[in-house]
Amino acid sequence: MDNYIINREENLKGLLSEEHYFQSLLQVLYSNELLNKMELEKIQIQVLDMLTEKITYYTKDESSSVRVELAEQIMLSIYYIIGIFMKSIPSIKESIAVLKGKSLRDIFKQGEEMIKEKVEKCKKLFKQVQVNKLETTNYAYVDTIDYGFSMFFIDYDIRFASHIAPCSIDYQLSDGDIKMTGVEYIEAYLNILRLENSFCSCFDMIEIEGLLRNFNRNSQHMLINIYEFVLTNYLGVILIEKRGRSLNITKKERAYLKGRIKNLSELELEKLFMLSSETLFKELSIEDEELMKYINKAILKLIPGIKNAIETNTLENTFITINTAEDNIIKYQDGESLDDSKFKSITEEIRACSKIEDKMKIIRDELHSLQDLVDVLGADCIFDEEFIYIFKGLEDFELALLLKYLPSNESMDSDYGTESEKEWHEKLKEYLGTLDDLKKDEIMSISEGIEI
Amino acid sequence: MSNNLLAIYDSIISKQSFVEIQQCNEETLEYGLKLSEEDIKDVIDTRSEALSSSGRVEFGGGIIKKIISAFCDSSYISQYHYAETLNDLIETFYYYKNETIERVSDDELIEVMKDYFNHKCQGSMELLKYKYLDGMASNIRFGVKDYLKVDDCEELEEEEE
Repeated sequence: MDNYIINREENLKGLLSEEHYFQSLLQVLYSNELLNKMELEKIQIQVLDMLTEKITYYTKDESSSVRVELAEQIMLSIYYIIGIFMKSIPSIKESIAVLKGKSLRDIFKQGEEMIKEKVEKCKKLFKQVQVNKLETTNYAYVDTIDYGFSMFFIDYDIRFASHIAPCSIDYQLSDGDIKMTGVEYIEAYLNILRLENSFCSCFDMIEIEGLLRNFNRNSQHMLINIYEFVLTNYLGVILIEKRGRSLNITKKERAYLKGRIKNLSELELEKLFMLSSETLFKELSIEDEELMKYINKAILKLIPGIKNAIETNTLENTFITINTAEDNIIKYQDGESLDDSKFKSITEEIRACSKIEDKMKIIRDELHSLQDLVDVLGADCIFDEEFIYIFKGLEDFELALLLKYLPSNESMDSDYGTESEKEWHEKLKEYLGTLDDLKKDEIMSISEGIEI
Repeated sequence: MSNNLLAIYDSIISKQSFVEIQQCNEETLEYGLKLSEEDIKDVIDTRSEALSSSGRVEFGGGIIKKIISAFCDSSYISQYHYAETLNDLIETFYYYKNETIERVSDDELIEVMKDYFNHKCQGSMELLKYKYLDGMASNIRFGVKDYLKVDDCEELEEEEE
């Protein structure tokens, strides 16, 4: 009988929300008659007392009323702090004893201490993430680590908004479904990012960048998860029984891989992948249990996508070939840009010219960098057919460089840029359309071989 | 859940307010002002409605008592329209708590209302609301340092014209 009661209570744990832990705990306990109405009201009155006190602090005792949104926010913050402590209690039975035996104010104080500890832990985790940051060009990744978290450590407000994490996180994790808020969210995110970084750092960064570039030339601007790409390709490498730490899968190897897995059911794939993950851990000398668990979870998540890629014959987008020809790309070193005042006076000079020949002369004589040329084109000083004249006067290499500034259809929407930028983009496309195919292809191929 | 709790809180405050306002009658009787039980209920309802329509929630209560204490000695309030004026003042108070974007404390707002009401407005609720408090709120929003100078701004505008 006792066992039955314990089990019944512990089963309720599954009903509790990670995000609104304390509120859900009260609801579950009350609806299952583990907390009676009087006990619930006693708790609610204690919450209201704390809320009144917090509001008094907030308004510096100058205002007895506040906006409802603010009162709700502060109340959620109180619930969050109490919830943090309650989460640390292992069983529902003990939770009930604590709620009935302890004052809510004491629980709150302990919760506050736990949050402070978590913030310190997050600081340490963030330092680790910064140290192990991947040398990638993916904008969301770099921006999230360089700027996204700094806000949190400055603005996190334990007193009045502990459930809100002020941060700007764009980079998506492989397992990004974090059902938590406040400092708990930051802790969970940083912990996962640390694991992902730790896995990716087993591989050559140049190869990882090549892998992402081969997935999509604009991958640096895309909201992708680097770890998933690396893991998928390396799993492919393991499946074709290659050894070493190279991520590359050639066309032939992919064909072999396809033959190996195409007729397997999801269950068989799962078995095979789990066996391969063991090899993967050995090959990369991974011993961190947390990381192993995370990798296995991600591998299982890959199965439906791989199944689908086999069916739709698009396995080349899943197991990617790293094209070494990409390495022969010329990296364009731009000339020195003009300072702002000089640039302004030149654009004004161009704007004042009535003849396009004079405009072209100023561009030729005064501009010595691609960036300045691009800025001039988008600075409302060249109009309509004048663009075509300017493009005619440019060398093929210069046109190829300008082509790099056109938004690609795949990753950028057509509304990218200001109106004047869109105008020169359109005019450049129009000009290219007037060229013969041979000349056009030549310019395109030069453009493909340049990286700016 | 938090909304429910705030509603419970409002009802607790309302109950407390009833006794508080009743006690105020002792103070206001000196000036010939008294609220009947019906009036008190009205005043409490006005407070709840004013809070709800201005999207606010009150903690601790005591505002009605403060308003009564501040205005009871006004020569512009008589028993004849005491309850009506009090209801109007309560509504006005919460409305301008929002309009002054939380820059004015409860005590300061009541003091300013009393001062305008007794002097410049000579007991006119319309003037108090639509000229002086509106002017003050707009001064606050536009960052005017001496936001209480409502007349002067208008005089300046007239001079410019």
